[in-house]
Amino acid sequence: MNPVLAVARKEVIEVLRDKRSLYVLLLLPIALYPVLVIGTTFLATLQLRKLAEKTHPVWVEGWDELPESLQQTFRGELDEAEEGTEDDFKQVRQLKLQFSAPPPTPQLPGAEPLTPDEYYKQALADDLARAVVRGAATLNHLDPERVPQLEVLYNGGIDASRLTRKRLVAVFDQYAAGVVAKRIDDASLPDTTLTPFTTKTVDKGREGALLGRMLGALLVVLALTGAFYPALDMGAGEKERGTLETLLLAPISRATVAQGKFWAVFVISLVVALLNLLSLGLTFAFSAGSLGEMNFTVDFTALAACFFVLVPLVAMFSALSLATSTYAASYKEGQAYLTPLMILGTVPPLAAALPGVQLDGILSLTPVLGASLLIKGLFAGTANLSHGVLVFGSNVIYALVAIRWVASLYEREEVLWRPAAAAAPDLLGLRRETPAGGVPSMPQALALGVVVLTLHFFVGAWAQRKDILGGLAFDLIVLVAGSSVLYGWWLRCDLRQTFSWRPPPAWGWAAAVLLGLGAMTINLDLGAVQAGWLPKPTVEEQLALEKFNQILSAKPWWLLLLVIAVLPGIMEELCFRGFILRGLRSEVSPWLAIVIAGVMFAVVHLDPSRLLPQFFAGCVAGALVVRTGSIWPAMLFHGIHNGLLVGLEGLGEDTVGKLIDLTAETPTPSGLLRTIGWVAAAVGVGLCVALTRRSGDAASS
Amino acid sequence: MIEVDQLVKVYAPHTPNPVRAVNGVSFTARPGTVFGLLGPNGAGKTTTLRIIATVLRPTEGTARVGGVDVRRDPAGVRRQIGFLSASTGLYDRLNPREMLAYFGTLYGMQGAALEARIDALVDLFEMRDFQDRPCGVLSSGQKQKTSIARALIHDPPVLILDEPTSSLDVLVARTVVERIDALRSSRRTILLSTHIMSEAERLCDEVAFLYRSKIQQNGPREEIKAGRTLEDAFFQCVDEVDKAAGGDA
Repeated sequence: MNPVLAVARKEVIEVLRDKRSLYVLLLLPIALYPVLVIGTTFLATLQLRKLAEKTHPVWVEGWDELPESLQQTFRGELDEAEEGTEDDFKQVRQLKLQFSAPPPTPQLPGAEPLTPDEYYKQALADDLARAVVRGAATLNHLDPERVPQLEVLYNGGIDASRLTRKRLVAVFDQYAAGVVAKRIDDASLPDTTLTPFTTKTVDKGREGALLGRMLGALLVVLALTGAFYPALDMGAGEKERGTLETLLLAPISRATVAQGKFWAVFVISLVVALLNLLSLGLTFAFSAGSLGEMNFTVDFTALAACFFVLVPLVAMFSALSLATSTYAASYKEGQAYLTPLMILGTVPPLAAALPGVQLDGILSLTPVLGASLLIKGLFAGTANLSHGVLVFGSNVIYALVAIRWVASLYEREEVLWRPAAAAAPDLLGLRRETPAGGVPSMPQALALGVVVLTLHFFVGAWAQRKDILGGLAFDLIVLVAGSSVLYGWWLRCDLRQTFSWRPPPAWGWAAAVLLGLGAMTINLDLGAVQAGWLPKPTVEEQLALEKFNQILSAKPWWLLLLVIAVLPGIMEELCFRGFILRGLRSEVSPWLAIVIAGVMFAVVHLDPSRLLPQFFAGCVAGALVVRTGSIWPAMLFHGIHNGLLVGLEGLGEDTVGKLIDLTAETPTPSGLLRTIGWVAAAVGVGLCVALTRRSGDAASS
Repeated sequence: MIEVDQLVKVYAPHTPNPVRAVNGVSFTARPGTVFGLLGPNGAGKTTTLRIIATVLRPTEGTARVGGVDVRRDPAGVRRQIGFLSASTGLYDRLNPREMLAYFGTLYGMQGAALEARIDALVDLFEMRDFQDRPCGVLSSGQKQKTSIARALIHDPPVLILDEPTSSLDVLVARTVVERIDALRSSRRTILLSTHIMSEAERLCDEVAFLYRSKIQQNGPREEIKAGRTLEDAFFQCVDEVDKAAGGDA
């Protein structure tokens, strides 16, 4: 037997023999849907039946003075519901109401008498009445010149009271319709007087679109969560049970072991997803009658296509889960790592289920989200082949990368043989220990990113709402740079090394100036490109932006330059290209570190409309640090990049018009500015490449 | 044959606190003999054996098993060895027979040949009574028998045993020692690490004292003993090394 198959087969057998896994993976979800759907439907029916059996008191002011004919109208039967009326109309019709005048207001000795409003509120809260009708007497003498108003008081927190309100409103509507019909008849007007035309809406979309939206999210979540238990068992579980060494003594490569385990997790996850799907489908099929007007027709072609979309997605998540689990030394540690991964994995499917989110070229390539949107599109009939190819292809690539990662972990001794009793890796960056080489670790860098994001979101945004420029300065100096320096000091880092605080070569300054100009120009284009992908800003957003610009334009130019160019140049660089970039470089290649720091820099700004330009500027600044060995050119670059944008605002409209095309929806550079920018960028890059000095060399020298 | 040449293993080499667990260890274990690697806990015995078994990679130096280098062809080395240690666990949800079949398959065995080999081992280690029970419910003695059978499934020319009796009660330990003694053959090399001197005295033809990550003394058992017990010889060796280390300091 092929060794990969032998390993996979044995792993599947082991999982199937574990009663806990059988229960969690198969029995629980399969039994859950029928129990949930049928159980909740049964409970709801039971509750409504109870309500229908009871008599619900309704107080009507002046009830006893109402003529018998009107009292009869109140008690009367409702007509059959027309198409489109509310689902619980049947229950509303069955509701038995008992009308009476409100009892006299109780008068407690020595207390102020209750106002009618207070009295009715108390009565509704104490369940003495389900509803109170005020102004019913006006129905006695309806004057065509006036529109009297009836008031129905009810308690929205009590189901029976809400249903009673519905019934009363329906009764009054029916009565009003009768009055209108009589008036039209009395005036000898045709029936069409009040209904000149009707509107009929027909949904010609593919049947099952609603199911697709729900199913897409659910299916992806199920496919992802199905990997949790087997991955945990085969990775961390095997280590904890002490069988990993036994297995690795067999004359098969570690890649074979990793592949065998991957296939086992993959097959189990896929089967779990399919079984869940089957259970869900059957539950809906058998309880369709109780689900009202919802359209749950299943398109089996779409369902089959979904399966192909799911295969690489499940493969990717199986490999990711297995890698995460393998990284852990014990079951408990594995659970701690896998749970956040699962929570993170469920966000894109839920986002895809939101109305209005549609698949496009970029989203097709986004892990998990692309597949979720494609499944939604398959059911809605909006998916096209090119998107399908992009989603499938990208997921296959992601899956292969993830599988490669698992195999690489099986080659790393520090991952395989770290004893469970030993300290777990400091993934939260909270352990205060002198870092190797005096610089922060990657987890510490990531932890700082999370801290800065959180502080910026809660405290920084609050401060900026109080005072735009003052709040921004506080955000940059205290929250961004202050927290970075404080964290570095607390960890006992070598601060000069951590923040790359050393003089750069002379050409570094020149490169920073040129790249600052070039990146600003390129970013104008990138901003326009990104605007094409995002929805256009709403009127409210545009107004808010205009107001923001007005406030800023009233400030002196030097203050704007200080807070928008100089401070970000220094403070953000200390954090992102100092602490974070250095920490990331402790574990990954400089270029990957630049990209990760760039993503973090873009995300922390919390401005989706500037994501791509922020990322690009962050990467250029990162490259400058890596190439010059110093953070100073990155600070100059950042300051010039932002300063030029501020400066453009200060120029007259004529001058700006020559440099920037303001007629476009999003400002783009003019031909002249674009040429200047690209030439500057090219010379800047040329300087970096030709006269380069890697920071590692700089450090050693 | 096992040839170990200037083996060095450093754990966590790129951290501020690297650990040199094995420091220039060399020895040769020949076919037909039981070679004992003796030393206290933490001396580097397990690390040395795990490098020979290709579970760990050496930092420096090398080892060869049957002429095959652990660095160049780790799978080739693993094909020739049966390895047993306190940390080579069993799959709780498989029974001993399935366990043997699984590892037999991984060693490339199949069909009737594999079944015959499993039957032979089941008989040899008297496993009939519990061969179909999940390993998770077996007694420690039954588990150890299964582990030894698993290490022998491919009839390896080299058997490496790392503290095979350390977690067993005295009765089971005695049985295991008897089994190991019975596994001697003219073509088989057995490398045994232990800190129990009585076991070494009974089983080993040649011994090496591993202390402070280095081989301190190495040779035929009787030569090393020089009229003393093996335990006395070991203590004398350790005292001399400690004195020398103190003197150096």
